[in-house]
Amino acid sequence: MSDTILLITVLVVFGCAALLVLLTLLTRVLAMRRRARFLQLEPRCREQVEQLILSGVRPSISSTAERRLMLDLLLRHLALLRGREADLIIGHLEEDGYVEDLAERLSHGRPWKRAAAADLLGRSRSSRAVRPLTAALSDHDEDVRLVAARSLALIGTPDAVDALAGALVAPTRWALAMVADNLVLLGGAAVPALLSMMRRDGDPQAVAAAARILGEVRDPRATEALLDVARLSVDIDARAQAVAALGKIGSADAVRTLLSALRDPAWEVRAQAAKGLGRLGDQTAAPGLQRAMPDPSWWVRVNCGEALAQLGEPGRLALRDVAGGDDRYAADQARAVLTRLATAAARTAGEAAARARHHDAPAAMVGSAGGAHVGARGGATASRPAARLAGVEQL
Amino acid sequence: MTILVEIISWLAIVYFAALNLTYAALIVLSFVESGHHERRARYGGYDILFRSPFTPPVSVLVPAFNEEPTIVDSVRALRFIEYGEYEVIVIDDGSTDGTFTALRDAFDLEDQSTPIRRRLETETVTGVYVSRTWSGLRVLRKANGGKADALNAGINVARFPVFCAVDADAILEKDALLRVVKPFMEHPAETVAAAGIVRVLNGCRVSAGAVESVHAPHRFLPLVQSVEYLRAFLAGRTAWSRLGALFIISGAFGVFRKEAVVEAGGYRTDTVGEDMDLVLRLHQTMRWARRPYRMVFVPDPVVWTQVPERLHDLGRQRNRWQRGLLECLVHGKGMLGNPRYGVLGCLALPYNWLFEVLGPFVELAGYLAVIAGAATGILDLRYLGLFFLLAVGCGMALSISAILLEETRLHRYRSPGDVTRLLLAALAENLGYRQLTAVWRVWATVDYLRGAGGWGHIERRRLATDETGRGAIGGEAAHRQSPAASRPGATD
Repeated sequence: MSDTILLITVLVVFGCAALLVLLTLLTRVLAMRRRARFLQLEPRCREQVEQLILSGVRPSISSTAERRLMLDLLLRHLALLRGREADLIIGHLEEDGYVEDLAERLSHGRPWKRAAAADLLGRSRSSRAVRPLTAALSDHDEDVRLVAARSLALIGTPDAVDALAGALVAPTRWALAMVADNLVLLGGAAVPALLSMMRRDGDPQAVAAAARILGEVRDPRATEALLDVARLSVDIDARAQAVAALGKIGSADAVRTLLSALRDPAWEVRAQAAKGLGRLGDQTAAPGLQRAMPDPSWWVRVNCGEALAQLGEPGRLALRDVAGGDDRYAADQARAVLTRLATAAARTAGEAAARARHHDAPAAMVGSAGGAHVGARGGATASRPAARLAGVEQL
Repeated sequence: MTILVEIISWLAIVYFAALNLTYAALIVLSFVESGHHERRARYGGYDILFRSPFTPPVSVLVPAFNEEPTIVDSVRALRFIEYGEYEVIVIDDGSTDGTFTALRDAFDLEDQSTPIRRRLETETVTGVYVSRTWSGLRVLRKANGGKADALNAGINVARFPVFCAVDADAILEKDALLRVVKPFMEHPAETVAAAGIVRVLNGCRVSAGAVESVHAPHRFLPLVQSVEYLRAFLAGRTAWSRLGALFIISGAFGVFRKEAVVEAGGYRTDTVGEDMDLVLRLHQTMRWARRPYRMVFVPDPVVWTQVPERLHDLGRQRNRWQRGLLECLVHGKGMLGNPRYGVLGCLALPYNWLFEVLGPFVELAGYLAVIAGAATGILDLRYLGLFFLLAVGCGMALSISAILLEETRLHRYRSPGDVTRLLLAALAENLGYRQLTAVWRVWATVDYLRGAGGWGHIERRRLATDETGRGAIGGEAAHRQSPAASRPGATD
């Protein structure tokens, strides 16, 4: 390589480095200018928004920057308002072309621009946004679809429910989380759509997701469909989710189904069944949980032990039996749970005794040593039921 | 002789060109990828992640060895992170100071006799304690076995399917866990590990175990390391992650699928580079099983860590990192150039051997050649001078690109003074500091070949609030065996 070429290369490299320094500084300067411009415009725009809310005076906008800031302020205020004030803002957003502009942006080439537009449309709560947002549910970009679904749920139209339930066939857990959040937001309104989806012989992943959402909504209308999935589905995840949901909703049928699910061939289902039985707290489940305790799966043993701890005296007796039994893994688990219960009970007893001593202190001072003795004994006696309760609550 | 000099010159030019073109390509890829991530993060729905039942619960593992001064603050800070369901497991790895006593007093620990599922072999666990005031906290006491062994013990008792390994002296940002777990939601079947960015805490203002305001350090050594960390994480790992060849997830902050780690055999205890080793073995396990998998770097979840402020400590740290790198590369030599491992085997590992292991030797050889050339008159000094300037210019351009990446994508440094200081450090680091790190790395390679090793001691300081905002890490100094392997790794 000749010296000249090398010299040119050196100059080019240093030129690039200098350019990068300039770009970095320029980025910072631009950010500071944007901030300064925002601080300059913000008071005027805020004042106009307040005038719109208080006296219905329409804001006058002179620049694009002002319009962008105004939209932001209007949506922020709208999020906090209901009734006439909210209607005034929504009306202004529609009449001043904000909603149309955003709807147009839903066909922008860049997915993040479309997603941003869908987000703003949802926050505008305008009924005019429903049609473009419904169309955006079939966008080829998953994020845009999810933001559109969220926006529809925010607007709260009944049409959105079916579209959202349909989106449960989405392949990722992230999409499920977004859709599930929207459906939980819609509450009871989402239940019929979810039930019809579960009854259809569809995608097991969607059935599992629907079961999970129904468990979150905790609507008793879902019990029957969940029982069917728990008993009949061939998919492990669907069965496990249905069993988990039944453990949250609860019913006599649910307890029976959960007890039979303790014998399911899949450990995931057995573990969820044990957890659910503990949560429901039905003491008749204790013998079933005791029988299930020597399970080959760690998680089933753990959940059975925890569940028995939540069933009061029958559960405790069952744990003692298991602790003295032949299966050493189950016995270990049972002993660990019993030790924890005993520690918690002793602690509560100690605290109760201390409280009782504190309560009886004047009597002890006035009377004799016998007074203190009675006080301490009384405290210990009184603490027993409290200790039992606290032992259960601790878990 | 002239022909020999000519051949060496051309080899040096080819090596130099390959090195800088690779760095340039990684930077461009990082710009594209981080831009994509930043735009998507704007409508990331982290509020939904926070409350969703679909968000996987996480076990946060905190290995601790003689962390008495900082452990209570660190654990308290973990109590207030923004995440739905999580547990914190502190593993006291046979501390000889009052680490356990401090924890017991602060969190009212009680002994919990519970069977431990020993899926990974570890040193003896002497007790599992649960907090009476915070049911999500458990403390494990065990015989000393090193950081990797402590993490393996933590994995054994972790209840949740995903675990996060965090250094005891690091500060996790409130939403960092939420952000780093998102890949596990987006690709639940494939994602086995995700990493966040490690940033330099020195200079920041810290209050109640959280970073209150971000500042670039004022001292030269931590400042230069800030630039190094930006370069390594933002410019390096973002790109390797995009290529599907992430070869290291920092020990200071990484999230893993527990089953995958157990299947890979857990952390290896006989290496000082246990974090990189685990990632390479995860690649191996998944490729051998022919399973689709993802290991990703996410640029915005942040963990803050202290970096050495003394030259001696820094030298020891770099020595350990280089030995760790060598151990991992030698251990994973079967992957080198093996098409079964895709971009990792054919690009990332050769890159590490060529530029990270061989690089310091070539660099030092170049400096020696300049000196020898000047002394004997064989080499054209003007030519060598220009070549040196070119090397310096390329180094500066690379570091400035990383700062530009930070400025355009993440905007953590609010003050213009911080950016200016970082830019000045990017210019200055090539004159002295870079050469010094090359010497340390060469020395580390010699140490590795001699079989010398160990973790060494690094002086760190207790986290304390700083009134002035300058040099906010202050207070009582504590010597300890460092469990922090928050190495920036490649692209240094």
